[in-house]
Amino acid sequence: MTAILEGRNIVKTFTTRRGGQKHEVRAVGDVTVAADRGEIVGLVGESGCGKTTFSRILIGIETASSGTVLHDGKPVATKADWKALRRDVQYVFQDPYTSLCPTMRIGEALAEPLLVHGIGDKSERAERVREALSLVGLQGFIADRLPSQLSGGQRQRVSLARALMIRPRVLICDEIVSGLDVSVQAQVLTLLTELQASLGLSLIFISHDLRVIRYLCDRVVVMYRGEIVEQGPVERVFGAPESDYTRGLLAAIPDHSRRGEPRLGLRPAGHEGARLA
Amino acid sequence: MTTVTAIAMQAPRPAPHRAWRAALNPPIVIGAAILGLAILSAVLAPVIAPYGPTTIDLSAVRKPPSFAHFFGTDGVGRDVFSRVLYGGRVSLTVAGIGMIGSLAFGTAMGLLGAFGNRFVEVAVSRLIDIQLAFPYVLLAIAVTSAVRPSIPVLILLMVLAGWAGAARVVRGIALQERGKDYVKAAAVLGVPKMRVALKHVLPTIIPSLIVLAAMQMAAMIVFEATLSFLGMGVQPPTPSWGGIMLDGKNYITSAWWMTALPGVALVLTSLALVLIGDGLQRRFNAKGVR
Repeated sequence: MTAILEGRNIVKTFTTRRGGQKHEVRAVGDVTVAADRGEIVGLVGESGCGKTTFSRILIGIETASSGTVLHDGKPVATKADWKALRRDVQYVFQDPYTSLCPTMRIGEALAEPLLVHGIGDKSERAERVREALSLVGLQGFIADRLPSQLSGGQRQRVSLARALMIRPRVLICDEIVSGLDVSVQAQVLTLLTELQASLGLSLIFISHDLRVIRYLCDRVVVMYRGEIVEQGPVERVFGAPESDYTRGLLAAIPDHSRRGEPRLGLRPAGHEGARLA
Repeated sequence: MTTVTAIAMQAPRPAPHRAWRAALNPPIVIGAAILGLAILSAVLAPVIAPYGPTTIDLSAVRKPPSFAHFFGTDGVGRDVFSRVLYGGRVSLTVAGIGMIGSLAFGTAMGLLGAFGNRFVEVAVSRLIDIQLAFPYVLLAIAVTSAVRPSIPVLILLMVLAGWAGAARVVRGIALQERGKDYVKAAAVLGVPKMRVALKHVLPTIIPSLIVLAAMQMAAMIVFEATLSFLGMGVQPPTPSWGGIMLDGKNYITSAWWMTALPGVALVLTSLALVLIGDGLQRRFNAKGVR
């Protein structure tokens, strides 16, 4: 079965100029990730490891230095291909404070994707906006609000609803909960799993939070310095990590479950930092 | 020996109209008062003016300011006060149209410069540079030597002189906005570039446009006066502030009021607009809106 969305051998280098000298920074080096139908793929790694850049290449916000994006097995090359891809694949941005237009009311923002794709008439679109709001657990009156009148969690729900308006098959979520309070994070994650199950979505979920990945994903891809160091089913990677980097990451999870239990006096209390061998 | 004095703590004074007062900082209030007066006297010119703007009275030529003629009379006995009132109608109207025209054209070009393809972007920014480098008086001389000066030609010149400044400001802000996530989000959702520019970015520029409108209006009033004074703007006998000053030019050593008093009207009005623009700018900055 061909994947709905695949980034194959993606490489991205940024060139910076400092003091007349060119520096090449390799943000993503030869990364291949595919999302199958109904699958949740986690992309994990520390800040600056190329997760976001890679995900932006998948949707065409950034262009790859080399490598191809495949949509239903076919390489995406022309403008029309990207357009088709964006009807199937949508993207939710990390920062809910900048990803909504500050001067547009929520209802209009949600109706816009429908409008520009010529879906429905005015009343149908209004109906779809109401549905979308209730889908993400927001009340109808939110449609008349401006983003500045909403909380971070509400905004991220709106972003999610907006990405789902044109009913994509794949949703790329770039650190969508990292800007939110922990309690709100849990709400948004629960919502996301419910939506994923009910809509049969494929998710590419980017996070640096391993607990979130473990909770959510079927498969996980671990990235370090722009390259994949390990990938596989979540249980396997978390249960028996193969790479040292993954082990370091796992050791860095603050473990709340054992708090208060005796630790046999072997280690001082507190968590270990990620050790990179 | 020391004396301990108990200092009564002053309770913070309640501010009942705080929000109202915050919205109207001193420059805005002063500016709006002067501008209001200028507009009111222009609108009510037929009611206030003691004489007709073009009524010649050869028995009262070059009279200094008095109770009969507040601003004195000019070389052919016309009442300068009445002419300044009627001149304000012409000057303010022409400057207003010029301001709106230059702002509209400038905004369109600025957005084009930020959202067009690479070729358009470069073309627009070069055009802005050329326009800004070109002395506008020279441009006016070139144009009015080819076409007879008239009010429509004057307005055209205003648009030509003013659009580049507005375009540069709009382009700068639009480029900044273009880098933000909500613009990328719109692109991912399939919103066409033109729509992104008009529906998403333009509304965020409006506060800046309001400030720009006040500043541009001040510049246009001066521009009108400059060209009319040089004989390339509003043509006699229609009174305009620059034109009245031109009439008085030859008598400036013997009859100062013919040039000085319309000049005062001009300076006060543009000062008022600059104050308003400045106050609004501060207001928007304080609110975090740009």
